[in-house]
Amino acid sequence: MTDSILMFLAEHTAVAALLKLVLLVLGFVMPLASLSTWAERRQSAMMQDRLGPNRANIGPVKLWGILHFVADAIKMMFKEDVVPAKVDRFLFALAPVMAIAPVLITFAVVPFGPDLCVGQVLSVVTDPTTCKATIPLQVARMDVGMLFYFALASLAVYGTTLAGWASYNKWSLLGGLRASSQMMSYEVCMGLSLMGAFLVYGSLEPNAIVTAQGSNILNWGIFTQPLAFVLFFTAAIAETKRAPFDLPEGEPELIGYFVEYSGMRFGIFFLAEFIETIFLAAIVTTVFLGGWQVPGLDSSGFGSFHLPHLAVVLLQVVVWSLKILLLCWLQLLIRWTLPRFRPDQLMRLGWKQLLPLSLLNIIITAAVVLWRSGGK
Amino acid sequence: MAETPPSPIKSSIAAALRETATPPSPPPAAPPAAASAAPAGSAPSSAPPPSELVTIKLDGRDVQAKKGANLLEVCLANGVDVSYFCYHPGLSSPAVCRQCLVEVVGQPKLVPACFTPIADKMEVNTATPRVLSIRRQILEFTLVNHPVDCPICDKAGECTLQKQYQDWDHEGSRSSIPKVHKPKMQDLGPHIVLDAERCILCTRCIRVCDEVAGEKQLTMAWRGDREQLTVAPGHKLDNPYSINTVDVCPVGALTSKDFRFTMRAWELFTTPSVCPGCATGCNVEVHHAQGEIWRLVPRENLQVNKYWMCDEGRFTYKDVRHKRLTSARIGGGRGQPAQITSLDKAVTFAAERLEKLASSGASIGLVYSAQTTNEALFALSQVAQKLIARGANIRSYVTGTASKPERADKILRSADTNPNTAGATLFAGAGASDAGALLADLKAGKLKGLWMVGADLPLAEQALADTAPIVDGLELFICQAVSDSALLRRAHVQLPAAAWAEVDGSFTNNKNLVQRLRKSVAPQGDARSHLELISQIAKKANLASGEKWQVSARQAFLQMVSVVSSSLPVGADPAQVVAAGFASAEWGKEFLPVQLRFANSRG
Amino acid sequence: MSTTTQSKTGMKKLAFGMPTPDEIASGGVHGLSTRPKVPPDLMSKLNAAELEEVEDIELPTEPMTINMGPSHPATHGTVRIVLTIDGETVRDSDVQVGYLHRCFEKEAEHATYTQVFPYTDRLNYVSPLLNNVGFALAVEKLIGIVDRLPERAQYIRVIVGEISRITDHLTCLGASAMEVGGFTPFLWMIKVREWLWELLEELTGARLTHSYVRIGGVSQDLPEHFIDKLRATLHKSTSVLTECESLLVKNRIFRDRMDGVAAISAEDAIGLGWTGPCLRSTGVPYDVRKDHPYLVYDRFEFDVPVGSVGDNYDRFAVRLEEIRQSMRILDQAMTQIPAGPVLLDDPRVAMPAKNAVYNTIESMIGHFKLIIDGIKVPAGEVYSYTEGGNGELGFYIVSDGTGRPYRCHVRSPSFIATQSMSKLILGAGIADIIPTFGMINMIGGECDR
Repeated sequence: MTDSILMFLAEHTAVAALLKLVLLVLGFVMPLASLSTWAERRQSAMMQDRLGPNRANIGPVKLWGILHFVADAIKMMFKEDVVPAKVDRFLFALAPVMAIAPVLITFAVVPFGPDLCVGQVLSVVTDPTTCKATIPLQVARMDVGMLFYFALASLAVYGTTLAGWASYNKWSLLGGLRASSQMMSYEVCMGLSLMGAFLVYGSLEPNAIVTAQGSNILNWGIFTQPLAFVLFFTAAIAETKRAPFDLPEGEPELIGYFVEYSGMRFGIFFLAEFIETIFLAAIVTTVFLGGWQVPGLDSSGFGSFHLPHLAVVLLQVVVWSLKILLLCWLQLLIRWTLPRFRPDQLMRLGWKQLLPLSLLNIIITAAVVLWRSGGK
Repeated sequence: MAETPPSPIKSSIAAALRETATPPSPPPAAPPAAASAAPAGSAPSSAPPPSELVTIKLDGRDVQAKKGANLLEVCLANGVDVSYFCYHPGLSSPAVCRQCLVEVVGQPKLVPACFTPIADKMEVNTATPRVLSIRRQILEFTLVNHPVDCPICDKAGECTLQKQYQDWDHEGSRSSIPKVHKPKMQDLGPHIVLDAERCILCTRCIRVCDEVAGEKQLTMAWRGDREQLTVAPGHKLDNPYSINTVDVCPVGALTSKDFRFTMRAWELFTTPSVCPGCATGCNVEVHHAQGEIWRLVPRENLQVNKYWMCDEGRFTYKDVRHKRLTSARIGGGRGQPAQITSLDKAVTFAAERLEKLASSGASIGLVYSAQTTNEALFALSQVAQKLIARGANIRSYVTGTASKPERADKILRSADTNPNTAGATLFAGAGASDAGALLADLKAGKLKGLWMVGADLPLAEQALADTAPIVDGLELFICQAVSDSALLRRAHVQLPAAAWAEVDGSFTNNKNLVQRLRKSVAPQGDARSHLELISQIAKKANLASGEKWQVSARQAFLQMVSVVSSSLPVGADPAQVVAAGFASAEWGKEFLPVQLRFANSRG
Repeated sequence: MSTTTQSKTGMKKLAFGMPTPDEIASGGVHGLSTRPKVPPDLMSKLNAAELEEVEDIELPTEPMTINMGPSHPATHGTVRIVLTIDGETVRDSDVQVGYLHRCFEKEAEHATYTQVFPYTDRLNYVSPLLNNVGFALAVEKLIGIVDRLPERAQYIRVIVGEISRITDHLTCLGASAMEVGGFTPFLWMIKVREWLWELLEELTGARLTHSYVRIGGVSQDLPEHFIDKLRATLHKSTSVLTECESLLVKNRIFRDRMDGVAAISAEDAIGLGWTGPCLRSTGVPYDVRKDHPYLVYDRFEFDVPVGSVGDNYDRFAVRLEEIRQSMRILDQAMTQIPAGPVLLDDPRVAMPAKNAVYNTIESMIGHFKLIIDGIKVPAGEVYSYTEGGNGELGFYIVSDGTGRPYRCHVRSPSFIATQSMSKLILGAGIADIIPTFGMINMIGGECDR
């Protein structure tokens, strides 16, 4: 029964992709994004000796206030949707969509587990390549996966810029301007810092990068490309527009590009920011932390300790999730520790420090790769 | 109202109150008594010859004063603060309170300043440690049996004892023996309640009765710490000036039944004005708060009322509160009930009818009530000229409330109960008739229209109700009135007028002094001043617009003064004697109500 | 979105009725921007320095006028800054105060001297007790009882004053961290402030608007164990302060945001009338407590920290060090404080005991007159100055001999510092305005009075 369903999915990839997308987005990304709104407030409260949100409940179910995100969602849904006079109504409505759609779509290229061998889920699989049919645990496997990511990530800037422009507010315009200049500047650095990894693992396809890293922790990107890891993580945080790079928002200065938004429109911007956080964690995991790889776990199990294929896959998916959670948490810590840059300092950091370093990283990596490959 | 420490605020209040107390300048000609009188509170205008002046050394500085003058008065005039209870500028000095003891060099004992005439080269010290110590000790004695009553005492906040203690003593109590108790809440007369415990035995009240009212009704009984004020055997404190005892009482021993427990003194605001009770025109302070008047107290004016006023006058404020007409009504007459309407509609109604009537050449009666201000009466006389120009046959009448010969005395009370008879007579003109002629003309049907500025007739309530139907023959009856009456209810147009305390203006008293009224409280309901009502009717009837008197009461006053003094040369004719009072009258300063908490003590 | 609309006459009017940049630069708009123009030479120097950095700008730019405040999260209703910006650079600014004007000076004329204390609480509302003390000292100087104040009252005034100074500086430092995006240190500092305010609440009954000081002393003695609790609190606070310091002072981003921003020379600062931590940040060691000691400040050992270049970081560092110095003063004051009365025993000034009020006519009258008429202050005038949270807090009082001030003027340090805002933020970025504003520490209540 199970096998026949899996077989059906393996043969009809479009249905499988849809199912995976639904599972990934509705089952993982959205809940995690919602939860991280609570986690952020709770985490900041812990850091600041406060209690934080701990009251929301459904009857006796309190769960340390986790339900606050439900309350938040309800509040945002039911708030009045204020559209100020003189805004460009079409762009005003389009901007939140433009902000959230690209980040959701890019999840398509993120591999969250190895290929599932249809028909052998309960037996030990030593060589996945011998499977007669597989279901990749990745929505869309395309050879230019990382380029697809960059292409879509650069679309996200339109959401913020349009929001700033369409609001008919000078402050939001300034915020939109800051956002566009900041995101474009840091995309250069992001792209260049990943070049090294592409050279090392020889592919632009995320799952291939993960597979190339293997279960040997020393072969993971964070060890083969330590400088790139720091550069990419920094630039990617700038891309998510969160402190210390929250200049487009810049609460005491500008209020932000979404100053005129209210209700769920604002909620979408808010959510997009958290989804970006998760997505950033997913990319860093994929490229630098071995993706779904578990140290020492091969497709057959831990060395001679064999495990059924399903257990291995589940373990890897769980570890992948844990890596993402860890990175999200790390971003929260940074968010509540560091002050904000000034626009000129931000530009200086991006163009004068991060960019030369990422170029240096490419050169060194290329040289090493060339040397190891014997100059061929 | 002796202001002891020379503080800018307090002295300015006092000066303002005093300044407005006196008519700005007395009439130059008749009557001779008024002409020679000097403004109150200042030295006599004709300086005494130099031989009568002596020089004394007061606290080390040389001070000149008239020989034999009261030392305390010299001190106060020169800004030297000496405390006192029993002295009062309007009364004799018995030197019973011993609070004004000062040191005269060469005298072994301290002398009471209020009982000491000054002599040449006298050296007086008022602030030596010995004087200050004695002053404190006297206060300690005074306070030994004083009850702890301030929170429930009506005088608290304007109490001289409180003031003197805080200025000179401020030591705690040293006495542990129980206080001597005396009767509280003793009914002395129709208006006065005595709390014997609070009394400090200064005898001011006794002297007020003896010297001002001329009736020996109060006296001291018993001796020592049981001495207490009481009415003389077989007497009641029922003279018509009895409430002056409350004003002079430095503590809360004597309280007025009318005022006690109604308002705290420091929450009141004061506005200087003139009593509307009779032709004397006693100067008063209107004490008001929360838009209501709570009491009238006399204001110093040596030309008119000195420091006093009669009990009846004090209650004139009640007319401002009660039985008021507060909205305009039209369509009454011939027994039909009038309809309440807006003031504007009523005025338009009146004006249209008046214009029509005037151009038809009908005879119209104008009533100048002696209860209204000079400005309103002057305005009416101006409108009368315009009506005559339109062809109307104008007859003028001077009316007012009934004269009460039984209330006249040689002190303050006058038989004429109208405050402005002189003004009304002047503005109604030489051909004016009196109220009796008005009634006769009405009965004879000689009038087609009647415009009453003030519905005051010398008739009692019942008589008025009986007489009222005689107006039913009129084609137009406009009545401006402060309060409701049977006569008013028969008018075609009934306009609510502001009472005396609600308007700015002036009254001319029986000595032909033009005295200033000041607006203390806002008019009730839709009521407007007579002047404003006349102005509006005249404007809507196309009789007058943009005239100077229509601008404000002040402009009306200024125009009135110039018109009166230019049209009537000063002479022996009665109207010219009245006019002389106007010739030099001034409007005076505007006065913002002052809260009594800034005025310190009274009494 | 269009920021300007073209009118028929060819003159450009900005949206919301703002004057055009040209009008602002020429001072041609009356009423809105009539303040003296920036000296031309300063402008040209600044432009030269700026142009060097951005010389390769090709596109012509046009300045934009924008309103920062009064409805703005950082000005929260207290101030309005009309900015003329070129990109993110401030080309001109017009700082408009008065949004928190409460007629303090006029109100004071209608209140007895004692009734003025609650109003002073609302001047610098993060250090109300310093205002209390300043006003009390001014009145006492006028009455002439400064020398007769009870020792214990003077020490208590020093203690509560220094606690208030600490809370004032903590608020300022915390807010400045928050204004550059560091939310965490702000809440840590506010936590310490809350500990101190809890102590003050125990002492005065109110957390913020204490109205604790009275003419002639203070309203009540220290509660039991107050000194011990204060010691313990200060001990706790020190460690939190060290943590905050480590989070900010050594933080590269924070230092980049503060160092060299809005610097001012000592001459300029003195010329503008600056006092307090802002003046000291330029290197001028002027502190009223040291230079004109009042109360018992001459009995304590403490240093006056000074900065060197007068930038935002110096202002930050001076305040940080002043917290430590205040703690030093507190330590000494807690050791030295003698026993004794806390209110001058003079019935003309101090209210009699309640028991006596209810049982003797003398005290009843005294109480009544002090309440209704107020404390009689001899006619005269006085200027008394103390070191407030933001600098020299002066009270100029004219008395006419009655129980209410004839005139009461406050020399509020915030107001005087705020007048230099335009100068400080000229040429800075939008992002620098708020931290600069924070380090000037404009307290609306005190500035607008």
